[in-house]
Amino acid sequence: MPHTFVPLAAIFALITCFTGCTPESSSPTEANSAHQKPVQQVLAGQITDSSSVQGYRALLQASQARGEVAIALENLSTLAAKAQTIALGHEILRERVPIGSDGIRARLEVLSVDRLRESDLSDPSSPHQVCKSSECFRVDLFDFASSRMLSAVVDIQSNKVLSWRALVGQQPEIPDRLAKLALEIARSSPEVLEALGGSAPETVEVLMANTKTSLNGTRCERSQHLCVAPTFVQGNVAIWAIVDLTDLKLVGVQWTEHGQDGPLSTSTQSVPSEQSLSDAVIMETYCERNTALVKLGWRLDYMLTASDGLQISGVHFDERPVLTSVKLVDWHVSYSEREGFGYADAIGCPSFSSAAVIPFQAPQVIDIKEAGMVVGFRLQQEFRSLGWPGPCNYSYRQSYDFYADGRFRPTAASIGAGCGNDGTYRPLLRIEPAGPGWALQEYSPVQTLADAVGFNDVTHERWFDANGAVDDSGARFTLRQNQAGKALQGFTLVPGRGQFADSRGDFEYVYATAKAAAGEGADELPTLGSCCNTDHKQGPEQFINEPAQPLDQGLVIWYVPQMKNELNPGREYCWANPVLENGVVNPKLYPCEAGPMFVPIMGEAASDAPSSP
Amino acid sequence: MSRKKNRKSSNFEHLKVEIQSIHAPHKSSLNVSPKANLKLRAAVLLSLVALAGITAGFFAWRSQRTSVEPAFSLQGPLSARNSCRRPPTFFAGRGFGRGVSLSTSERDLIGIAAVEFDPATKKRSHFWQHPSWSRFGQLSAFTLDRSGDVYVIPAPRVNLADNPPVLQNRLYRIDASSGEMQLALEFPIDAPASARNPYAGIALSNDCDTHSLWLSSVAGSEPKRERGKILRIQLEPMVAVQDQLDNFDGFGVAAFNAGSSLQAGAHKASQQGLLIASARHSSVLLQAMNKDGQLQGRPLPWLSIGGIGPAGNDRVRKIDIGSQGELLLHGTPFNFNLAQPSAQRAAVKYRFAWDPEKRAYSFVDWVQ
Repeated sequence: MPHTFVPLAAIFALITCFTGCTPESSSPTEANSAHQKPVQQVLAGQITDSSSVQGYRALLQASQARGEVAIALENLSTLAAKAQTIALGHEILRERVPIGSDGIRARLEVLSVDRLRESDLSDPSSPHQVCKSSECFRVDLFDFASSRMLSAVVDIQSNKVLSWRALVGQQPEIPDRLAKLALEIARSSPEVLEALGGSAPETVEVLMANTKTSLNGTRCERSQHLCVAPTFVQGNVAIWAIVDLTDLKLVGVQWTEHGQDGPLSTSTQSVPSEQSLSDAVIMETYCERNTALVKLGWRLDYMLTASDGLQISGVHFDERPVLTSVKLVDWHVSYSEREGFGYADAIGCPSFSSAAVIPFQAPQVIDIKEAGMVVGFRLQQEFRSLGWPGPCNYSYRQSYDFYADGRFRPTAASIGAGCGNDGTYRPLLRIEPAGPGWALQEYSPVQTLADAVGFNDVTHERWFDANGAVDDSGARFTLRQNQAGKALQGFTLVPGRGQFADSRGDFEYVYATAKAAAGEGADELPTLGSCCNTDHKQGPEQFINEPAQPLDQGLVIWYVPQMKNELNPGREYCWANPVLENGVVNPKLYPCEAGPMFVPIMGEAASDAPSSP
Repeated sequence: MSRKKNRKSSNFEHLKVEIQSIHAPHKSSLNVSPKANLKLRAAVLLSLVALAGITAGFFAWRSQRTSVEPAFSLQGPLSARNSCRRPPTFFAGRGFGRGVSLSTSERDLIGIAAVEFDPATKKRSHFWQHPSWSRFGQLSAFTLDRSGDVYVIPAPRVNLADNPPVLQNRLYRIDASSGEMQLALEFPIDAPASARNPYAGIALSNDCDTHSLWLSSVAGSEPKRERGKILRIQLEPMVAVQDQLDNFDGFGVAAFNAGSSLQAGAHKASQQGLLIASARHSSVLLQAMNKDGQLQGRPLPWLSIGGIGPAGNDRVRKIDIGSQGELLLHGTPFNFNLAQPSAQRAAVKYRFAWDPEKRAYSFVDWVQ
């Protein structure tokens, strides 16, 4: 019986296999992913130093206070310790490690001290041939200010440093001290706590004892900092964290529940990098859908566009529709000393966009405080070029300030660093009030044939010259919404005249255009106008029809401020400088910001607010 | 906690990361049609039944499955198929010396230009543009053919002002003698370029053996949907698409020969193929093709520059095959946006060399 059963079973198995087991059937990777839940990713939020980071900063400060050129490794063998001492005492090292304006030397740490091996001497032209008959060590350090490895070959018999080498773009091995710190930064972060469902191990030791933990290399391509990726598996959750060891902070976390397929496998899941994690989170969360924000009586949606920056839409205050949308269409940058030289930069999503300057971080919501009290909030997004703050690389900041009293202010800021000291920045803000019935008035300080002193009606499309007059309250325009003879709401438009932070005045061109059926620029606008016109021809004038259309059926306001940069020490404006501070290099920012404040006109808000559209 | 300790990786004087050619036995049936596959299976099954050695037959079949040769294993170092390129004659009489070259990356010039640089100052000393060269917006990759004609594709730089998305799926030809630039072909795309992906053609190379061009297009691709194409464009008797690989976002592309055998008194390459870099990853893939330049199957992963170089995630925008078979991969950041490094910034060059003992390419170094 067994003899007949086996062949029949084999035939069945074989036929089954011929019909179902093709060589192309699901690979281990595909099979694995079929059981896995989707990968979740999050960028680190506001960061406060944990006690371990505070302790490490204290260690760095103590080392600086002792005048040490670098943090040395401990618990080395006698010979390795001697090699380390010789390397750290070498004059070249001390001379070439810069000291910042705060008196703190660039942060250097010894990563490893290892005996030079035979294979390191195989090249007969190597300057280390003497090591064949002597005893030599390699001492590797990391220069956190320049993001480079420094590698010394030390002959401990002659007490000499034979060579120094500087290497960029390498992923160095890090000592246990930094490895443990990286794990601690990850373990103690709220993001990892969230990934673990609210139950993170209490200490790194517990983490290492209870989870499959490892430390992978990764890249922080944009900050160019030294980063590592602690990975650990707890229960059913596999976590990759990215830790920035230059700034001593978490960059972000990626995690997945691996189901029944076993622990973390780097063959099926690649280690994320700063850029891949950041782009994935921003694309998924802010480029593919709106995010709702409800705060202090305001309700709105926001999302990143492909080329028009951070757009807000459906803006309501006290449930009254105020704005259909606001966006930043383009940045025009021109250089006065070079005719026609400049750029028209779009800002937008980090990939699959026509943005030249992109976000590295997610949008932020920040409280606005006056006298210690929260009076409003700022929705803010920064955009950067890859090489910023290097020459001809740019950083822009787009913000929307909303106040509890109904004021709001869309702003645009340049943070340099352009191609010279003759740059003028002109951001193109498109502001579309909600619904019809809006009436615009412009302030006139003098009587003319057309205008009386005070605010005069603007009935048709037109543009307004830069730096127009403002009344005693700082208003250049009023904007009122009336329907069926009833005032719904009204605002004064107060341009920057130096009264706002980071502002020397807006010098704004303003355009009022009729809201046409075609959208009047509501759709994604690729590139509008020339980079380098110095007059009102910045692009929005293209929406002024001939003949000019009446504005009573809906209007769009275009606001184009002009900010001239300055590089003179102490007077920097629209600029950024890399500065060595506290041992590492960070850009010092000199933003120039512009945008109109919309101030509610008292008594013009209807008590019976219309329902939301 | 475990950390891999590898001294060699920090031996910078002899930095050499090995990149093995990937043998992919499970992909070996790529060239077998489903119909042929069924016939094969039926024949094997009948043979096994006839022999009544079911168990033995089963293991024989299993053995057959796993012993199939890889679809594409290089038989030797690569040789380039673009060595027939000739310089155009339109430079003559325009005051250029031997250092003249064509450039699409001059910050102050739109389109393509003939340029010459002062070797001492490294600054541009002389340039010339035919009036037609700046009419079609910013241009990017270009190549020469055996007649000296120049073929070039557009791509936006910084913004879309000069490169409307609907005009990006174009190939232009510059006549070798007159210098006149004209539209040669509007190549096929699944969807036009747009504000969300402003690119169409992004790389171009010449294939002397088939007198054609290879062009990579990413037109219409979206974050989660590859709609790019690799196109072989014949140049005679008329410019036309001859073959294409769909739904693949490629970047740098280069045709190659490999292996050599003596046939009728002359050395003939025994393998033909295409190196295609991915526009989405740091990898280079190997695509088999026949002697007529027809693509065979799908591209297979081959090597990667991921994790090496200053950023660790460059894309390969250009592939050069040297006279000794060495590979020079030109890497650049690329994320389907206009935030690329300034045109003046040189690409990072990654060198790979053929290791005759391992019969595989190994990474040598990178320079910037």
